[in-house]
Amino acid sequence: MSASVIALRGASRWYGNVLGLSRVDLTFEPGVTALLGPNGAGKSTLLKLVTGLLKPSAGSVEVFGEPPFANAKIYKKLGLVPEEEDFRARVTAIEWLEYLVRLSGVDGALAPEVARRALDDVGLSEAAERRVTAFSRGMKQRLRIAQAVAHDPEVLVFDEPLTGLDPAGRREIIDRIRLWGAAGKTVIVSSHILHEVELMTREVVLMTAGKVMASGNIHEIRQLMDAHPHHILITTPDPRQLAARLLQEEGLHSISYSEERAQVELVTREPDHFYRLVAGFVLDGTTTIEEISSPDDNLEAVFHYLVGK
Amino acid sequence: MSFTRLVLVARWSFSQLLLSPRTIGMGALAFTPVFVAVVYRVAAALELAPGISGFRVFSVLTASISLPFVVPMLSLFYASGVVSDDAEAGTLRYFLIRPIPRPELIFGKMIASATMALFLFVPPFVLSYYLTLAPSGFAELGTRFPTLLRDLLAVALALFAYNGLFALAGTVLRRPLLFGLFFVFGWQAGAAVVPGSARLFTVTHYLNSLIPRGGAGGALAQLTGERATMPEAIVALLVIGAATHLLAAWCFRRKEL
Amino acid sequence: MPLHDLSYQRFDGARTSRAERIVAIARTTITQLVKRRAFLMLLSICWIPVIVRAVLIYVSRQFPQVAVAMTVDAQLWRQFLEQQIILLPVLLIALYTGASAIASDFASGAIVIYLSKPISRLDYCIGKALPVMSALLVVTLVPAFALLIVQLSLAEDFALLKESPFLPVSVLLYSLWICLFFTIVVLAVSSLTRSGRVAGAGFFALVLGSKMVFFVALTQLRLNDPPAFLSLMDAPADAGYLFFGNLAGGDAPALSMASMATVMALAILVLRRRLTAAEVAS
Repeated sequence: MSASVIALRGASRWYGNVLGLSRVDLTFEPGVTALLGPNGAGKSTLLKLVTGLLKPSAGSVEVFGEPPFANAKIYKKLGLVPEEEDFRARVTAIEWLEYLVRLSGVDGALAPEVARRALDDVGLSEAAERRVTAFSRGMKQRLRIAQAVAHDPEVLVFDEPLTGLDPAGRREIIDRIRLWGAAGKTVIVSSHILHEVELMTREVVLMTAGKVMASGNIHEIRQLMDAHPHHILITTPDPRQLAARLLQEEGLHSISYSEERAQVELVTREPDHFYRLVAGFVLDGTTTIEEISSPDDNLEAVFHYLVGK
Repeated sequence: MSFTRLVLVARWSFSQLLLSPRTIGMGALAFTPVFVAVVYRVAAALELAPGISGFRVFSVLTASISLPFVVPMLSLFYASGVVSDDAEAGTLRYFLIRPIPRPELIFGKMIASATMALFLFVPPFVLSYYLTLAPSGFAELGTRFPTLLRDLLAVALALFAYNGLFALAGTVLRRPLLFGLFFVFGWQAGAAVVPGSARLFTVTHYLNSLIPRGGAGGALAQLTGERATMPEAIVALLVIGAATHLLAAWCFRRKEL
Repeated sequence: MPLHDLSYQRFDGARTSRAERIVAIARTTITQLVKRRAFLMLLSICWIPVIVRAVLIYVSRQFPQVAVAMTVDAQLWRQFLEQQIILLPVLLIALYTGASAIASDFASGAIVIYLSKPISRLDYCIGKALPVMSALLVVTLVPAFALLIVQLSLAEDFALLKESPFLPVSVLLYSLWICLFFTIVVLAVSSLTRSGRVAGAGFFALVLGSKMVFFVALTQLRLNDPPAFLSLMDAPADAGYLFFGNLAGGDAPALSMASMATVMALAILVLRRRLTAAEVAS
């Protein structure tokens, strides 16, 4: 069995009497994984453990097979975009990035070029000579991303990467994150913005109160959630007729229809069976279906069911 | 340890310290002996200060202001901020996630803080030397020059010791300034007057041994234990400085954010 | 019209009184302070001179031969309060409680929140000053009165009060004056920076530096006895003679008082300048 890039085994972390993380067993592989949870769920603690800013109180954390805490070797292959905090160093963007790039081991002669390329990648090339303290929130966030990716690390950790960005900027960074994941990097993204996380990845880790509630593909997690039957919405010109046909089927939890909205809503623990059934109705020409959707087969619903917020 | 990276960190940190507006305040502090030297020159010109030699004035400035106040305050201000300054500026995390060993990072910053303190101390000190001795003529300036050099070397050693001590406090304690003030104006002041060996655990004891002007002098002081010998003082300051610097690096290596 | 003054809109609800708003600011700080062990330890250390004095008063009552060496009169309380400044308790408490008072609000952005509420800059400053004043009074006024009670309870009569009927008033006014002085100075220094550490170092350097320069060096140089009013540490000590009716003692108490008043006025100007919208917004 090949070793995972990042592995947490029984990792726990206390802050005095407060439990920040409780016996977390997780692995992260190449690709994009989203870390989701309400405030105080333990996401930041987990990220700090993975990036070596904290040590676990119990259990172990390994990155490339080694504990990351104060481990200089790991940081050649790791980049962190920390959450937004005030930045007051008296430097220009290019000076700041050059310094960090040089600290990352890039040769002094190459550092300016590497830094400029990173600024270009995040759309800050025109602001390179400007003081960072004069940057807008969005520009500072782009700079945070630039410093994380400049040395081309294999692992990227993003803590709320879309904060402060305008809609176009958010779209751009989401696309880049997907590209980095597709290129084989191990990308962890912590975020609150569920619909944007869904655009990045289907692999999620859901946390609350320091514990991992679920991890894996959103749909697989949803399938396993027996306590919450699926809702399926079908838009059809004759909802009453469709409802009458579906009523006969087994595995139906409840069904309702609305003539005004031309919709049938059914609740079932066997959504795949009903998808096939309705497709059959369309194929045999007995029913006209305009739209089928599942309002709770998405990240927000999964999040809401598991976390309850 | 990479010397190149060490120099890189030291240069960067030094430039950030130099560019900071706080340097103006610390510069004003370092110029207090110059201010008094100017007052003395004016008083001497107006014949309000008869019978006091320029070297006596310089000795008083050294013993009363430079050594007990300027040197420790400069060192305390810069060394105690080796970690907290970056934390306040929001840059510390970025340094900690670079592939640079933490001891290297903090050694570079400690070099910068010591250099900054020395950089601010030396010019006003030399200027006050010139202002106080110049009226006595160039011969006097030349005659006393070895004393100036010796004083500067002694101050450099003291800054090395203070720098390590306050950097250690800055790494370990939440309020290193309070510790530093207690140490300098509480512990050191008290240990100087209390008989016994408490003074051995101060920096001023060894510094005053290297620059004995202004207090109990020479051989008698050594006999009574009020002064250490020059080799003892040099070794002690080096040991204090080295030990505290290493301890600061060790603690920083284990520090969690 | 300040932004928070929405008098162009009708508001029929009840607002708390101005005093309550000020106390709300002060109460938060005081609550946090008393929870800190380091602060309580510092207070304990600052009370050591008090305990020493109380023991001396007791010893002087019990052993009359000692009473010859130590006169218990009104000047004892002046000396006690003077030593609380010279021996650093007042400076350390002012530094601990006041250095971060405004600096941390600038650093965290809380200053913007404060000044966007219906409180004036003066209310904000008073709210910040109250915890510092309170802490300083705990190491000046409170122990001074405690010593007075010790003396009166050990004495066979009220001779001390008969000799110096205004002693309690002198202690009260002098304590309030020096506490107010150091409070305003430390808050002014705190408003100049976003770092409590820098503010603390600056405050200490300012006070001790003025003493070093004007008193130590100039005394050594024998340029006449340097006037105490030029030292931020010695002027408050010298002003005590004025409060205790001993104008012949001290250096120039009236000048020291004037000097302190001038420094406080400058400090208030600094606070006014720093708490303008431009400074706060940037």
